[in-house]
Amino acid sequence: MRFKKIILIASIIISIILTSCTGSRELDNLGIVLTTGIDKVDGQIILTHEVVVPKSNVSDRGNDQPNIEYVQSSGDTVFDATRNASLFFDRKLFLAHNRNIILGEELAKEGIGQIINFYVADNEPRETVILLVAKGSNAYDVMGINGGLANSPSRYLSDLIGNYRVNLKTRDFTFHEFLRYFLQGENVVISIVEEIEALEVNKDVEKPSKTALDVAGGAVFRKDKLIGYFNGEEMKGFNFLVDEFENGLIVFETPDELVKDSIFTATRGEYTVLEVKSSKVKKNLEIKDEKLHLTIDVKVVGTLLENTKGLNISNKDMLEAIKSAASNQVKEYITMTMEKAQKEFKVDSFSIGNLVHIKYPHLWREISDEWESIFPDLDYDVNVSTDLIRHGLINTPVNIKLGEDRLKENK
Amino acid sequence: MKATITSKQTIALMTTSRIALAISIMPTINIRPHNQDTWIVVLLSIAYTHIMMAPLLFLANKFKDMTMIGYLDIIHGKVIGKLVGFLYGIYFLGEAFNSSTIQSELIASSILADTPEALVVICMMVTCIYVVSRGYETALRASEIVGPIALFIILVLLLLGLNNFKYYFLQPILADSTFLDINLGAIELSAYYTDIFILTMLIPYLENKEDIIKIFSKSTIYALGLLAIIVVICQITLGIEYLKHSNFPFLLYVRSIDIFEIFERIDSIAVMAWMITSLTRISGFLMISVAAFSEVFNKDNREKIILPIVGLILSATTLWIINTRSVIMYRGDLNMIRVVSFIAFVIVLPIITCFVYFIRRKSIESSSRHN
Repeated sequence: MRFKKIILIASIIISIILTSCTGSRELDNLGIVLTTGIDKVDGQIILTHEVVVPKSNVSDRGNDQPNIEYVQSSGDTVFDATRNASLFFDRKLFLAHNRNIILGEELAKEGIGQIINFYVADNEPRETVILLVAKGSNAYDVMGINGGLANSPSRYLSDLIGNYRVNLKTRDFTFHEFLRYFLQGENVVISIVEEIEALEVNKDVEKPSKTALDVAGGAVFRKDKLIGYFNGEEMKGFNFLVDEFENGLIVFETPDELVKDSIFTATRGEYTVLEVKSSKVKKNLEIKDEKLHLTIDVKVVGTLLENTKGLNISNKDMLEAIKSAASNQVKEYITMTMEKAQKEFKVDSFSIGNLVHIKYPHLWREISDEWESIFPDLDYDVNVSTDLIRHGLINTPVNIKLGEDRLKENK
Repeated sequence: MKATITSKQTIALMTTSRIALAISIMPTINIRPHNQDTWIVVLLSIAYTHIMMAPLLFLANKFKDMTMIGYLDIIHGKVIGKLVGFLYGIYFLGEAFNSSTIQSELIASSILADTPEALVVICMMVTCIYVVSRGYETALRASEIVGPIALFIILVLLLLGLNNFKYYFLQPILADSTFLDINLGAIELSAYYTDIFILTMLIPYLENKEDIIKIFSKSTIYALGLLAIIVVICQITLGIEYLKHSNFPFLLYVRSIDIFEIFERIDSIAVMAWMITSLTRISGFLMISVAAFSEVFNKDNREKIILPIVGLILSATTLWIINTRSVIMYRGDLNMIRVVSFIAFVIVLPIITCFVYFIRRKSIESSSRHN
């Protein structure tokens, strides 16, 4: 009984003193970092942090001041620079909510292997943070820009990257993915961001333009060094090649013969747009004439949602011609990207080397060290088949009427 | 009244205890052939584990009414038996110490980085000592309840990484490893299956003593089967090389989960599974260590003298080590000690004991009948 009393008293005391306060971090003491920009100037690491000020503190600061603060610090290493910020900024930087890490172009060209170690070793930064390169500028140049409706520039940037699901001219590339491929010895293509001028439509604003961010394209790395960029269209090809193309658009010129041969086709308008519902890419390697040959088979399933020429899609032949034109466009995306990778960058960013390893492990052992010199001369074929499974809410395009008018005129 | 424990409870304890290592440091990934064929090594080690544990299982089946410390006394005689029993007690304590330092380091470097190590160790050890002090029945019943919860959490976490899976990391199969590498890896991995001692020390309390082989086989298959799944999923999520470079691979895997924008930052759920399994492992080995010392020094379990002493030694050494060095960084060096002690305690000593048993079988059997 006495023992039980002791246990009871001890439990009460423990529940009072152990209230999870040990090692606690109060919101008022933290500088919650939302985006980090990393640059290198004269051998010093320059870190620019976008730090959010909690709402209650914003009211203290007055309504005219934003709830975002930018903190720039320098040091010999990333960790050193992060801690140096505490010499003049009154909050300890808290990296667990960081959404984006932006790398300045110069730093990325020099190599990022030496600066990423801190983000892997420390428990605070998350591996799910998005990694980007500031195209043509320093990282801090593209920070602090909010061209949308997001409540912070950081959110604006991460939302733009998140939109890759509907616009495959870019990609969502996390720090975790970078490490996964980088340590595996593969070359990576990561997201980019650049500053652009956008037209200001709001007439209440004096300036005719506003600053926004553009994330179309991808930064191509050889090992840990930036060597160039894919543009938005090439990124479509890249996303097909790595089999991650879903919900993107294939925009292609409507074949001329369709216009000539059909009286139900209007002549106005040039393009037809297919929204990809799903795509499957199979890459197959063979040895032909003692040389490696790559066959890329793509199967695209999509919806025909925009048809500017007024094509009669209920006509079977016309539908086949559209499918063929869409397939040709996909082939062009892929070829364009492969050509740039082989001829300009001379780097395999599509894990084709890994395919050799899987299919011909013995051969891979012999050629793995020379793969970078073999890849630029790799022969390949692209075969694309397209299926249209939906046509939207109408069965003929609105401007089909123009075709009928043309018919009357001809009579 | 003598405590009785069921086969299910023992299987739950042994499986949970084995999984503790897998979801903390996952030693499997540093075992040869260090590549995508590791899951084959894990499955193959089920067979090797049975082969290597055969002497212990044989002896356990021969002496169903006593712990291994008890039959060491009978086979080797009082003096040598007590000495070997004492060494086994230290070995079990070493296993508990190994787990407690790994778990303390995991907490200190990832989950509660700013919390004093002393507080972490004290909280952990008080819990384990309390569990052990309640006796075998309570400890085993607890593991029967919480063990499946931990295993369920692990399985759910493994499914949540689905959008990150890159299956090609598992290829090519059996192309980069030799037959020798795979077999040596499987043998090396079997050396981590020391949980058999939990069974050999609990045999007198088993409800059904005919189930010894069944308990061992089931717990081995469950634990290594789940380990193979964990290894495969971590490899296809993190890649072979990234996984090899991480100190706490499963934690890293959980940190990479980001699905439907709902399931992210769910490390705390993993911590729940990790706490259950690691506390089960430490308690399990502490329990059999105390039982071994109690038997060597002829102390009744109810006297509760051994437990505070052993618990204090374990807490103090854990505290000392984690404040002086990183156990995980030096595990390459410690591996040699672990392998040598495994060979000594799991293979050599049981084989010698079997050999002596066969030589002295008649006298042992007659004295057993006499008793």
